[in-house]
Formats: sequence, structure tokens, C-alpha cells
Amino acid sequence: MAFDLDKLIGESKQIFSLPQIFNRINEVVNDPEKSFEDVADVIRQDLGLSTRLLQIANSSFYHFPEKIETVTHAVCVVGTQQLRDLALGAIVVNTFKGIPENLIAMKPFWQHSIASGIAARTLAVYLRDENPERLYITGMLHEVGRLILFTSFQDQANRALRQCRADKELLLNLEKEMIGCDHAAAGGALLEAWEFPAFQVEAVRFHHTPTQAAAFPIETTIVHVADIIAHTLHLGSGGEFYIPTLQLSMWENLNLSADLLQPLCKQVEKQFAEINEIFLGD
Amino acid sequence: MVKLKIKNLRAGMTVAQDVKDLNGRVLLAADRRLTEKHLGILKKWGVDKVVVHETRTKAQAPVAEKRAASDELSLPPGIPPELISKSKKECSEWFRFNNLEHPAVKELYRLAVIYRIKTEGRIEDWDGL
Repeated sequence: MAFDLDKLIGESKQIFSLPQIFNRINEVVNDPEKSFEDVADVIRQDLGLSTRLLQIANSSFYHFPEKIETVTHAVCVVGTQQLRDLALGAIVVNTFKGIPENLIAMKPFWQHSIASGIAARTLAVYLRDENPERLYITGMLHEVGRLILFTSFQDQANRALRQCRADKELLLNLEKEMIGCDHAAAGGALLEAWEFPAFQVEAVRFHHTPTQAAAFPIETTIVHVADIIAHTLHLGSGGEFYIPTLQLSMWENLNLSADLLQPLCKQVEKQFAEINEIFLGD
Repeated sequence: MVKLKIKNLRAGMTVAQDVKDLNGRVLLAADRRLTEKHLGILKKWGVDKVVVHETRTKAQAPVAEKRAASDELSLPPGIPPELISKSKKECSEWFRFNNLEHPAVKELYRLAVIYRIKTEGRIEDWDGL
């Protein structure tokens, strides 16, 4: 039987429905007539979200000289687009909070996601991207496909997980073989259905095959490398035991020196401790 | 090929394209090796940037490449050798789908070994399913 991706996405959208605030934040940020204050008003309606965003604004991501105590202040100093991206990421993470632990170990999963997000953000800063936050979120969400695969295809997913160790094979390939779809394709389709920006959809869809990213090769490669950095540091686990293959031609395209990897890892390790505490501390 | 500012040029580099002044007059033809005298002339004629061939001598090679070439991990002293070999073995296994000959992958492998040693014993494994 051919794999029905649309069916999986339809089901997943039912099980993991994004809260209304997700759309309201998008609307208010995209409306040119709205001000900082309006954006802050929407975010303030969700107390948990506001607290989390303030914690991030006060973290070593930014090193602001003064303490940021109000959401309005955070919107001003972090930037509307950037704060929107941070908020949307936090909302998606929250949406998946209910997955039972016997399906997939959620803590290591999000640890891997957070580490990848930080690595993607740091790479984006190195490459002078104008909004590194959007890459933080993309890195953070790059494995969500695995969550919906593990929810909808529990048996196959668990068998794939066991078999990849026995056969010394990448889980990614076994997903394709045993479920009919890998987590990258599933994640890309889910973000697309959720109407995420095109670059995020592409970067998630091709994070293992960045050579196929036609429109956003740099962003996709950043997420690709970030995933491998998170593996290198062994922070959490997205389910994959072996380190996915670094696509050398795409790495060369980033034009970064291998010397940069050590300071990069150091930075990721440091920020990881802090962001991990914000997201998973409670 | 790389475009360098005048202040970053050194005698001995090879010019990759004709160097011209503002009027288009050729001051130095492609493939000439720069001398100190040339550098003075280029400055005088107001040349801002010059395209040169990338010639990295061994001494200038980036640290990671040099390290990769020598196969060393640059670990701090005092780590039990059995812990090093255990971590190396584990990391080699993790990297089995990667080309360890590539300088960037080699550096990642080196870092993986270091972090493995650093966090030894404190890592939650993902086998608990």
C-alpha cells in the first residue's frame, strides 16, 4: 500500500492542533497598522508564553545590559519578527507536550531539538543572517516529523528504532523502508499544512538532503549542519543513533573554516544549559 | 582566487587578474608575483583591492587542517588512556556514515571525542524505550 502523506498530515493536524494564539500572533505581526504594543498585547494573553519569552530575552542569547521585565520591552529590543519566531516555536513545542513517554522519550528529543536550534542560530549569526531567530526555530522544529510518525505508526516506528541498531543503519532510511515516509518529509509537510514560511518548510523537508533545496539552500544547509553539531555534542537525542552524513559540497558552500567548529560547539554547549532550563526546567 | 585589500597583500602572492588603475591602465599583469616594490606602486595609484591566487603555505594553514593532517586530538593531559580509546571507539561508530577524511568531519569527530570524555557518565542514553 502506498504511503498516504496527506492522510498522516490530516490526522496529525487533528491530534496536534495549534492554539488560536498562534494565528493571532501571525496576524498582528503581519498587519502593518499594528504597533509593538499590539503585538505585546496578543502575547500577554498567554501567561506561560510571556514568561518563557521574557526568560529567553534575558538569557545569554542577547546579553542585554538591563533586565527586560515587560513583554512590550522584549518586543522592542528583540524585534517584532524575532519575538514572533520565538513565540511560535514555544507554542509548537507546547503543542507536542502531551505525547506519552512510552512512544518516544520526549526530554532527550527536545534536548536534541533545542541544541540543533541553538547551533542553527549560532551558524546564522556567523553567516550574518539578518534574523537568526528564524533559524533557531527551524532547527528546533527540524525533527517534528518524527513525533507525528511515532504517534501514527507506533509499531513500525518502534521496530525501525530497534532495527537500526541491529542492522547498523540510519533510522532515517529505515523509516522510509518500514513506514514509507521519513521524518524529514513528514515534518516538512506538517509545517506546510500549518502555513509556516516556505524557507522553514524547505529547510525541514531537506535537512538530510540539502542538495535538493532549490530555493533556500543556505538555510537548509544551516539546519543540516546544526543537526550534526547537536549529534557531535551528544546533547539529547532525536532518535537517530548514528550521526547523519554531512553533505560535504553543501558544507563547502557555507564557506566556513573547520576552525570555527570548536568555538561554535562551545557556544552551543553554554547556551544549551540555559535554554534547556527555560523550556524543560519545570 | 580571493580578493584582498591592499593592506592584506604580501610580497610573494600571485596576482590572479590584471590589476588596473582607475583609468583602466594595466599596472600589473595577471600571474605576476607581487614584490614589495609592486605593493608601493599599487598604493600610489590608488588601487583598493587585488584578486590573488590562494597560496596557503603550510605555516598559514588553519589550525583544524593542521591538526587533521597530524591526526592528533589535542586532549588535555591526565585523561586515562582507556577512557580515550573507549570514547574514540564510540565516536568512530557514531560517525560510520561520515567521511572522516574530510577536514570538517575530522574536526567534528575530534570535538565529539572531547565532549564524550567531558560528559562521561552523565549522558542519558536513548535506549530506554
